[in-house]
Amino acid sequence: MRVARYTEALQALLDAARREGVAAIGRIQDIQERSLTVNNGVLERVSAGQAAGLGVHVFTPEGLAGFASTDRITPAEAARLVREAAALARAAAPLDPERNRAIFELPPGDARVLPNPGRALADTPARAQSEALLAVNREAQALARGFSVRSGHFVADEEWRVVRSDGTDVSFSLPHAFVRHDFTARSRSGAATTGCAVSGADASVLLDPANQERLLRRARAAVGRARAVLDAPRVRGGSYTLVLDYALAKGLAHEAFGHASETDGAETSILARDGTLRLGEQVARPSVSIVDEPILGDYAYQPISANGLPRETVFIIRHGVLECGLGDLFSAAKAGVPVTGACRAESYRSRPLPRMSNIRIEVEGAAPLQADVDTIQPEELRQALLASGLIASSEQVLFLSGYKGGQVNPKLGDFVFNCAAIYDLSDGASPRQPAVFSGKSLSALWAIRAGLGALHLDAMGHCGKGGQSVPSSGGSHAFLVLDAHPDVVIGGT
Amino acid sequence: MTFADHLAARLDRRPAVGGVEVVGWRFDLSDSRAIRAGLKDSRIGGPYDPPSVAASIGGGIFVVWSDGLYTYGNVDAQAVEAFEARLRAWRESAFADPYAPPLLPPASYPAVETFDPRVAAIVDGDTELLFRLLQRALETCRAAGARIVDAGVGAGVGTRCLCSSTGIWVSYQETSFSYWASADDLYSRGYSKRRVIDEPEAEDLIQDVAMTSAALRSEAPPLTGQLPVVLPPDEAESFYSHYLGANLAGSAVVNGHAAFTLDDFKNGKQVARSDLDLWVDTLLPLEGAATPATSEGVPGGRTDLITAGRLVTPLLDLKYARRAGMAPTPLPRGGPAFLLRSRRDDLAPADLLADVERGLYVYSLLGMHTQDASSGSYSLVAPQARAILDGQLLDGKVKAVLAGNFFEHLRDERTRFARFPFEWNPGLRVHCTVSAGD
Repeated sequence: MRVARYTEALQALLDAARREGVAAIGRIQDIQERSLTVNNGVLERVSAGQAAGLGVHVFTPEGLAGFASTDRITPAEAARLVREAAALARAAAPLDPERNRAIFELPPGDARVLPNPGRALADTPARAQSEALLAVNREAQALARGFSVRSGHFVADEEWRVVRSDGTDVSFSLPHAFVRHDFTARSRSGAATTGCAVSGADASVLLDPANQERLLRRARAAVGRARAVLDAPRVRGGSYTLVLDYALAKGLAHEAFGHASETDGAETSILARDGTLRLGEQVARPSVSIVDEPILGDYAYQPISANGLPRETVFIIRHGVLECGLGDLFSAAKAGVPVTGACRAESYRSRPLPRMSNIRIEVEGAAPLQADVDTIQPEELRQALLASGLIASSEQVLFLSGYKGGQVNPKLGDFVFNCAAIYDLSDGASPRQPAVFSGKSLSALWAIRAGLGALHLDAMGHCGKGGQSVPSSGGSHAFLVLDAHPDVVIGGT
Repeated sequence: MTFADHLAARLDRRPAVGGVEVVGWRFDLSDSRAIRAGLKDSRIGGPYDPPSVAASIGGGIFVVWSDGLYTYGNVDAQAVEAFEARLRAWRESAFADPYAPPLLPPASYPAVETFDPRVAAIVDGDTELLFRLLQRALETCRAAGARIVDAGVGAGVGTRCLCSSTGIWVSYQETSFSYWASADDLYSRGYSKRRVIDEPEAEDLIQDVAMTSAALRSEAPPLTGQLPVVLPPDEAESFYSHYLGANLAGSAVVNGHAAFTLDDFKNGKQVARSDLDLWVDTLLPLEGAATPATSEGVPGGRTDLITAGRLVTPLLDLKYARRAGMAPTPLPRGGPAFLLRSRRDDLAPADLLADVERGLYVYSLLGMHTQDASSGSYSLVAPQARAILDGQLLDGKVKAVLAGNFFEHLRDERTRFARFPFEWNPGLRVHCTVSAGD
């Protein structure tokens, strides 16, 4: 691994920490990236970048913290960072800062190197990527005559090495990649843009024939949504029985529940009381579980935390009961949960925060679905839901399709996310303009009624918590059904 | 010799990979150092927001090869020491770009103030002001009844160097200063410029956060209907950035992903009321936008984007300027990304409320980044808002869902603009659909 070359600098860091009388966590990130853009059949841009740097987090015996980072990784710089961070930590002492001694309670660690689960970027010729991206863009253009079609491909070959004063020295890789299309349709009344993506660990997301076929199926669905919403009427705002595709279900899990379970927010989270998570409380139907898990090959794969601890699979909610939080070294104990290795950092410059990796909603007794999740039409979906008894023919049901991101305030329990299209399944599956889906997290949790189809866990996104962007991922059953609830609304006219 | 000198010297030797030489180049480097401190859950420091210092050097590079291919890459701190490896990596990503930008010759670059020595002193170690600002946010907000106060303050100093094989050599110092505060997660406000925040600005910011969050602490009944909605500058800015920024970007316009087409610009299409002007200005002293040149060497200055409600030009770098057949524009380096004015409205903030019988004043918006900018339509949650009744702002938090179309607002005669203290861009009042949040 590339990070193997920094041993001397990291040893100098640890030696300096001993001399300063502080405990240190050193994090080296070495990242290589490549991104390509094709617009309407023209290769517009191929850009490549690489960067490496060292971040040093120090803690005095009193628990005062300081942080310093640099992109010049040498023994002298590493030692200087420790001195600087220690000085900053002590400078804040007169101001009664927060103190945290958790790092001193860790058992001694050891050295480990985890192999890269993806294909190295250096082994992926840019030319092959360019040709493949042009080819899939042409396919997408053929589906979407009259549309503007932008295709993007991104690959990150990211390595980390985390050392601690207790002897821990762990090297691991966080490879991630995606390919996506964005379609812009235009009519007299305006424009509308929808998109689709395939994500994974490396350039196989684009180069693998099976992934190309998957992207094409999703492109058909995205083009259909763009055409549908272009001149569609708005939905009337209010509460409805809702059907979400699995990407939206991932958004629900991530925004409505996931952030509220992160232990750095336990002081004010709606899943906590007096700074402690309300473990053991029934917060959803017994059929509902929410799980966060690092999945090999997934876009948001993170096997080791930014503090060098193994990232564990966490049942945040099991059979409707709040079972655990996403706990990192610094806040898990106070939140009343074990450390689950949940912290992540965007870069070596970042201070780690508890974050999700791949989060999913599971519903026991999910009904089977024969159709393909990427190609099923809204009217087909309605028939499948009726046949499974998951909706009644007299029910007013909206189907939300195509996740476009979300946001949450975990302290107030307000979440919001958006979709690319809405279909009124009680009106011949007729399309409606996208509208924001928002509400109270706990109410949305109780509203989960049933699942349809197998689990699909590759809905990708990016989480911007604390101003740090990291890959996110997850999903649920192919479709999720939610009861109408007054605290969960669709915005509209 | 500086890092930039060394890199330029290596590139000037026409290095080669596999017999293909570098025949032209341009890079834009920043060598910077920054310090920050934060307040989380009313405590300074802690593991998540400890006092921090960061140093880095890097930027973008554009390389022209002798076989007609081009590279868009980055320069990192190892680019000189590991030059041969970097050269091979740049070559690996080279491609045939039919619209590659030219390498400009040196131009006359305007003078603009980008450096505040007070900021540099803070980065050099005089950190007392940083901790004092955090303490002040904590004490003021607590005095107004806040339980949890979060805040952050940071200062940065650096040297920017823009160089090219055609003789461009622009090097200058620049600083940055930021400060934000939030109380009980009800309301937050921030400051970001190239100079230290002035005392009146700091006082205005902290008092606004303290008083507004106090007013939002209780719950109030919802308001619904087609209502006037006031968006103060921060919330208005989120609309300007999302709907104007995305739709005026050269790449989006030229490639048909924007609400406006290239022909719309060439025909001067009327897209807003005739009293509205929008422009960029990269010569605002000590603002984040301030820069004497773009990373391609286009001189800074002021350029109109929309005049009297008619489209004039997208924001264009050299590549999209060539494709559009239009002149390249200055590109702001930070905020304000745009400047918007109404020639008709020159209201004070209180005027936005005065004639409102029943309306809403919005303090935060959730979900802007999820909206389809090309459509102009929006459906957003305003989790913290206050009711306006008969011109008076009422205490109590109202939660609402707002739906409308921002382009329609820009054409609507009912839309009003007001200038707020210490803000470049106006707040506005629009008419949209308000439904109850949960």
